Amino acid sequence: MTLHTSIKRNAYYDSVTLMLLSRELQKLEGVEDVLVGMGTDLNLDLARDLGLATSEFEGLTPNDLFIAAKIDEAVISMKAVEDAFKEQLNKSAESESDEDYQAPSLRSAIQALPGANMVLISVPGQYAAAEVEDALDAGLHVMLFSDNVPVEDELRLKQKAVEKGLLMMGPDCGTAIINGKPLCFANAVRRGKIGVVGASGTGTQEVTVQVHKLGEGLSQVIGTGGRDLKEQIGGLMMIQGFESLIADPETELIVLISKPPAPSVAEKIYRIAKTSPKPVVIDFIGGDRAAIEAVGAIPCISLEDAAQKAVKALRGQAYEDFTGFSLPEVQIEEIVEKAVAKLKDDQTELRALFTGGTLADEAMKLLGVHQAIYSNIPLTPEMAIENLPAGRGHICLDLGEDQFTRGRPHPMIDPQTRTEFFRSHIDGQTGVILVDVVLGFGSYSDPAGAVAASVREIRQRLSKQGKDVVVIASVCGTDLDSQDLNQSIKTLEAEGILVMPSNAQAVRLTDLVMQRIKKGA
Amino acid sequence: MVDMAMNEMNAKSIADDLADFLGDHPGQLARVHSVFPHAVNLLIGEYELITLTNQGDIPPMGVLVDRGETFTKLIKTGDEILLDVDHFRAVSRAFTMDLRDAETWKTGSMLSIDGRPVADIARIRLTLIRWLAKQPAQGLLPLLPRLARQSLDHKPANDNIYSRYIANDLEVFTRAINISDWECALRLADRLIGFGIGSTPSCDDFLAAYLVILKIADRLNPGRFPWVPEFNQSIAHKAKNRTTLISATMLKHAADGKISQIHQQLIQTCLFNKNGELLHFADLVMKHGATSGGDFLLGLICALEWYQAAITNTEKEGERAWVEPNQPQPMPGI
Repeated sequence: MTLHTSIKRNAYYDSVTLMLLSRELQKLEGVEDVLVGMGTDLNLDLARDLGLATSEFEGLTPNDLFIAAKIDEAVISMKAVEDAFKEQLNKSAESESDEDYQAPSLRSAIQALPGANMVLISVPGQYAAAEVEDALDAGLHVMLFSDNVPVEDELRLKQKAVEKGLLMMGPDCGTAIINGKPLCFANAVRRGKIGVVGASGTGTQEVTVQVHKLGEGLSQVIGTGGRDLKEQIGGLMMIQGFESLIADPETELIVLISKPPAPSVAEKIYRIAKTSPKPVVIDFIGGDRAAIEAVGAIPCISLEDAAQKAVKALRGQAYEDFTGFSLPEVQIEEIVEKAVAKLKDDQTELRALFTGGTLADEAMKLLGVHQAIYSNIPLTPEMAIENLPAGRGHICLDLGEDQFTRGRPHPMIDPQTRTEFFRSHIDGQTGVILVDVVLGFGSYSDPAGAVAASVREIRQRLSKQGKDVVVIASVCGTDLDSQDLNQSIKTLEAEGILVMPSNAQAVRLTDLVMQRIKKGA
Repeated sequence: MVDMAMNEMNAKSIADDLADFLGDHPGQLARVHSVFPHAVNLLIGEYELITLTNQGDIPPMGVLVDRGETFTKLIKTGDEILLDVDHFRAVSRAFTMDLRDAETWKTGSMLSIDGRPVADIARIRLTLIRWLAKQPAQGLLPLLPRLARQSLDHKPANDNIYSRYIANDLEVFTRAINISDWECALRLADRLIGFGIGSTPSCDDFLAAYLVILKIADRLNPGRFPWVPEFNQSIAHKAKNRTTLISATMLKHAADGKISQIHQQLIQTCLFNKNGELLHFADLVMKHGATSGGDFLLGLICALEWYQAAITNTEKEGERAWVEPNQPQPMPGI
């Protein structure tokens, strides 16, 4: 083995590049040890300590790069090491070339991509309005992922978008599929004839997933942001999206999804629905059914129901409210029997831990008939989680709400928040755990695995008290999603989790189990 | 190949210290010191560096340029640039840069917002630690569990020779600072400045975070940490001959409490801005920072440990009062 040093005067490379280069050089056959660094005294000390110093170190300055190597010259020459360094450096430079260019401003992004007609903005809320303004001025549609944007700004920007005939999806818009391109959180679904305008992220995802499962596809999926149908905004983007889909030749049927709008906003939407030349399915989750029917639109009782009715109406088939299960009643009864048999008498409480806000909201509305549920997004103020008596009662949480995501990623991205809630909110009095598992673009790589791990941990803990727990889940995902729908279901079922084909069915099964527990108690 | 056609570009932002410098020294001739794909350093005299960047992170004495192409196609080391208040021009006529519409970025704007309660800072520090534990363990990051003094679920892998070699010195340095034994810390800094890979060696990035946090604490509590000015200036002085010019410049600015914009925003979020998006800025520092982001973040986590212990932040009559821990609170009106 012989020592060699190669020196590059006044050469500057960033740390990550040099670290990677160093690692690559170390892999070369015939290289026993190698150190790459700037010629600072301390780096030279390290080289000396490693036995890599040569006389060429004399005269090195902190601004010189050195490659010190111990090599077997029978296998490799120092020139070959230097050549490998240059080659890796070129590769690194290529990877940092224009293709990886991160535009410092919207203006330079537009210059770099002159054909773009939409911009996705995700900057801290306080800076978002100015970016949106610039984008609209440049004639670009906008998807605004940022939240914490003042409502006055939202109104002004949406008014501007409408004037220019542009979309301004957001703020806090997490789901859209435009011309087949998924934006932020969206599932991989086939293209088709059903267009969706949604004011709720996971609600929209659930409908698109169910449409895909039923064999149809989506033309466009337009998000509006959660505040759009409030009085202050007046549904500007729901209306803009709705009218865009009416005009879109690829769209043959339109689905509108939102929590119940302000009455004045609902009125505007109904007026458009009344004159729409295309069939309109409306799921204003818990909204006014009679008003929807009165304008000739199709009302729904759940997100799954909206998808089913949309598909059937598109195919010209008869439809009615879907209130049941995909499985036969007898089989459901068996599942309920087995589930309840697992539980002790004092296991009476529900813990619903959702990552999707609309799915949590739908769960509470479907369960609300029979169960009193406390929540951080309560259906009525008295059911706020703060009013939970002595910490005991049924709980349904939207873990994606701001209070749980401050300073940490959304639980659809990072399951840690829900993992912690499994630990802190499940105890010996919990009878049923209800969860959603949301797959798709932007979501965690293995959300089912994370839920399964939490359930395993909970069961181990409860087994010390001689107890088990019923866990019910639905997977919002398609066979095209990268997380592998079938594998996700298998992972959950392997942990004894009851996996239902939709959020609505998971909630109904939960309701049946809870009612049976109540009777038993 | 360097493109010799005349290129025109516009400055989007200019650091206020550079704007002042140009006003005071019109018609300076600078030499291109180093060229990276998204940044160029210009050298004036022997020690003054100006940085042009086309990524979002503008450093002190820097200009953010609204231009898509990499600089390596435009400019090469040794080129001469004429600097004026309104524009920069390459003597080779390869490019001109118009500064007239550039917004001025305030390098020292960190002290304008109310401070966070110490409990918040502790929570933020923990969030940063957990997040950092999941990032690629390059540079000094394999030392995260040891220096953050936390057992972590996600233990960084990819131990490297540099981090192994410096682990003890770094740990002793953080302990010395934690007990405000600044003379000991200063001696230990001799073992850190200039150590590590890259044009800003890892330990310099680590130290930069400390210097900025120390400077902020000193400004918020005049006279409470009398050793900070001397400590910071000593580090900056030592760096002049012990590390690369780029890194020494970074440490000089950090000693004055100045750091690049993304790093500044992250620190603001940690210490001041209640609505900032912590992990968004941490991610930007990690990915796009002008320095080695992970090493800086590790330094920040360690410096925040000192900050929490050294300062307790309480609200008094609607204002923030800064007091030493374990000291009795002054009564309202006294």
